[in-house]
Amino acid sequence: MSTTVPSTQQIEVEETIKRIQTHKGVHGFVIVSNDGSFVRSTIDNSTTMSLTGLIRTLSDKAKSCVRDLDPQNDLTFFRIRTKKQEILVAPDKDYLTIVLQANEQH
Amino acid sequence: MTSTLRSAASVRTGISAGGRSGGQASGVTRKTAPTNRSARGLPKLIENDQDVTPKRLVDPEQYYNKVKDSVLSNDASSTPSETTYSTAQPQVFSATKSLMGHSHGGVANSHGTDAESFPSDHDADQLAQSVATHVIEDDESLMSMDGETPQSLLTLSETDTIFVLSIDSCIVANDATDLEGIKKQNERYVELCKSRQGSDVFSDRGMNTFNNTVKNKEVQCERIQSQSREVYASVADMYDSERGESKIILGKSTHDTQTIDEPLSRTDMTRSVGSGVDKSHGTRLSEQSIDETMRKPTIAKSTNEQVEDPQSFDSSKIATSVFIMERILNSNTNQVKQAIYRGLTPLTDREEKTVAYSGLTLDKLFAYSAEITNNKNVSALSWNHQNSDLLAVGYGPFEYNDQRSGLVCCWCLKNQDFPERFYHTPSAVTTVAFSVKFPSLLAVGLFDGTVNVYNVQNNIDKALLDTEEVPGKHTAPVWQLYWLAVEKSRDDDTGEVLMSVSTDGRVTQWLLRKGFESSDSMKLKRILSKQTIQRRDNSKEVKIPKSENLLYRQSGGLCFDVCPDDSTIYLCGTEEGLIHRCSLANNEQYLDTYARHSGPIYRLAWSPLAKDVFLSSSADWTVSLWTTDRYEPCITFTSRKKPVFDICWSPKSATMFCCANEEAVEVWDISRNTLEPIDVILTTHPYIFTSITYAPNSECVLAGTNVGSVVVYNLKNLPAPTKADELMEIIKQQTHQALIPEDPTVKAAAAMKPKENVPISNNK
Repeated sequence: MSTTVPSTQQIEVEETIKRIQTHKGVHGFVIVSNDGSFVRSTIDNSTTMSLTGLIRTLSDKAKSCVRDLDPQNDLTFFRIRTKKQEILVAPDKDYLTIVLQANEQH
Repeated sequence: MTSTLRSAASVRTGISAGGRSGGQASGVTRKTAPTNRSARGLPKLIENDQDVTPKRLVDPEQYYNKVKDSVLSNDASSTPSETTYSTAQPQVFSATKSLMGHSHGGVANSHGTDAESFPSDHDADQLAQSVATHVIEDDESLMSMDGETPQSLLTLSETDTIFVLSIDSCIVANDATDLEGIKKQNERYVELCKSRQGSDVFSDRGMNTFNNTVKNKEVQCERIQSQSREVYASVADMYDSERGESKIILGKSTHDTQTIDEPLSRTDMTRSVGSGVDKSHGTRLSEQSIDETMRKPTIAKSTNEQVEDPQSFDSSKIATSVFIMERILNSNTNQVKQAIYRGLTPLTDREEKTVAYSGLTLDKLFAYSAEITNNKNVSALSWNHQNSDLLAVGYGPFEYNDQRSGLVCCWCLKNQDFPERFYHTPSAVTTVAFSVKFPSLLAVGLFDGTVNVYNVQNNIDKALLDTEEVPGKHTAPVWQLYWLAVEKSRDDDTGEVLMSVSTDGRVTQWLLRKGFESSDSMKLKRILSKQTIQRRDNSKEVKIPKSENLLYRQSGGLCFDVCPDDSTIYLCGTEEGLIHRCSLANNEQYLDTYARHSGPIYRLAWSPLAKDVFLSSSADWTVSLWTTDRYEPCITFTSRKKPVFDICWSPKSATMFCCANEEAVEVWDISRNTLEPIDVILTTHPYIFTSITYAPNSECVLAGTNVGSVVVYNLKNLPAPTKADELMEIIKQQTHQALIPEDPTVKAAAAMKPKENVPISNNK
């Protein structure tokens, strides 16, 4: 498909992604590229579409907020904790990674 | 050119007056001209490949037939100007006629008399004459023109003002000579003006310019489309563009707007938004309303792109994000445990059931365990000196018959399910040690005697250095490694040497020369520090003179520890149960030998707080506390009938240590109880504890098992840390007690030890 032999780093990242997907409490994992198409998703299409659209705008807003306060700073990660779950977002230069994790029941 | 046009205009005017058949004879040469003329056309005005020559209003053909025979006069030149400005009205022509009457002579028709009656005829004739003149002029000019290119560029320009009649008034002084005559003339003129009204001599004529017919031409340009764009530059945008990293791409979207088409515009917008990926977020803020439209078109788009994307998705790009994500997930799941580890009060929603227990307890927090470490015996633990969350764990069986490849993992508190680094080694790992001076170096001792050095900054399985090819390498398993800071003997020395002990009976120092930068030209050189461990007779306390021991075997060393106070002194434990105190300066002789244990010594540990006190653990089920000045252990601890694999002093409390039996982890506090451990964790699963260590930054004890997991226990309700002098006190007490009954008691105690059955206490 893509490269003939994936590099070791790619293999490691793939394994990490697998571990994340099977981590305790995780019930959704999405990787979106910056032009709006999603690369990986473990949830259904329509939910993914709406999720990525909304999260992207929020991510941009948060990023611009951080950078306007200090242009040398940059946003690396943010979490949205809701009643039902927790949404973890890792924005990147090219991609956006979103993980949905259920809240811990104490 | 201009004259040509004027004459053309005059032709027009002449024609408008009406035509009259019959003409006047013209010169021979000029006669031919009209005939020729009809064959040719006027210059055409071509613009944009279209003939926009103004059409004639009257067909010239008719007219020239009338004009053919007209008589030409020399004064024809004066008439053009007059006829040009004459109108179509017959009245005009009569005026011109009267003037022409003066200039022309010998005209066929008499003009002077028929002023009013035949205006049209005379006019026409006159006009025809003048026109003919012009025509001929035209012909001439046209003939000359025809010799040139048929296409001509006509330039219209305004002519100068032509004064038809200009009579200037002049002022005469009162004492002029002909004053009387002028006055009379003036009076006569005034009279004339007065009588002008009803006089027959004068008649009014009106003058008018021609109203040329107009031709309308419509021009329509292409529809000019406009689109407004707004951009919001945030502080970050300005910062970026100042540094030349501006990612705003406006070119794409302006290109997209050229195709304005309702259904298409949406996709254009999305494309521009998509390309606005590279635009900085500031510009995207102004396009947020487009996001709603983004949803629908992208469905269509994503199917196309998804086909390509998996091909081009390079997962290494999101390596950082994924890494952070995993850690955050872990911290979410294990937040409580990590908080306890750190010594923070954990957040709990409900009240914890508090067991009223004042004693020390060991509470299991979590275990470092992953699939790759399953069923591997933990043989060594070592903390990183710079990052005290980082733990190196070596996996490898202790027994000879169970040889598999070994594994070294670096675990971090932030991720309990997978090690940060893992290195596979060709044979089982027996010991690991992090360098003090270069915290990213990890030395690993293997069962086959090689020592590997790894750089934990990356995850390459290949060792940075190894002693495979070095002639001085060990031939038997390396059981302990220690990084020792030494003085630099040369400039390029690192200031650190690696010490190792092995079953082949050598305690060796390894020097790593030639810097750590180059990875291919590094050599491990061995500085001569060979030691031969002499076998001693256990019963004799007296040193055997050397001469009697020319032949000796080398006994295998199993562990050693360098004294924290004096780095040239170290202890070494052997297979026979002897502990030797040696010095780096002297590689032939021991300083001291301590013989008490009856089984191989598995671990030696100097007390980090008290001076000259050390512990030894052995396979004879005992742990002994020694001081360097006594050849008998001060205190001996036994509690189980299992070999003690590992011991570790508490870094904070001078009287506490913990040990790992085969079947339990025990915490001892000498100040409280020397006979029993104050807390014990029994193994509940079918695994055994093989190694133990204290966490440097937490009140936790980490115990390695033989199934591959490192269990973390939290020490709760710790008593106040004791000082070194307390320990010394206790030792003094013990030794005094021991000393009082003198030797027999000691011997009896020593003899009794293996048979003792100390009751097992269980504080749980």
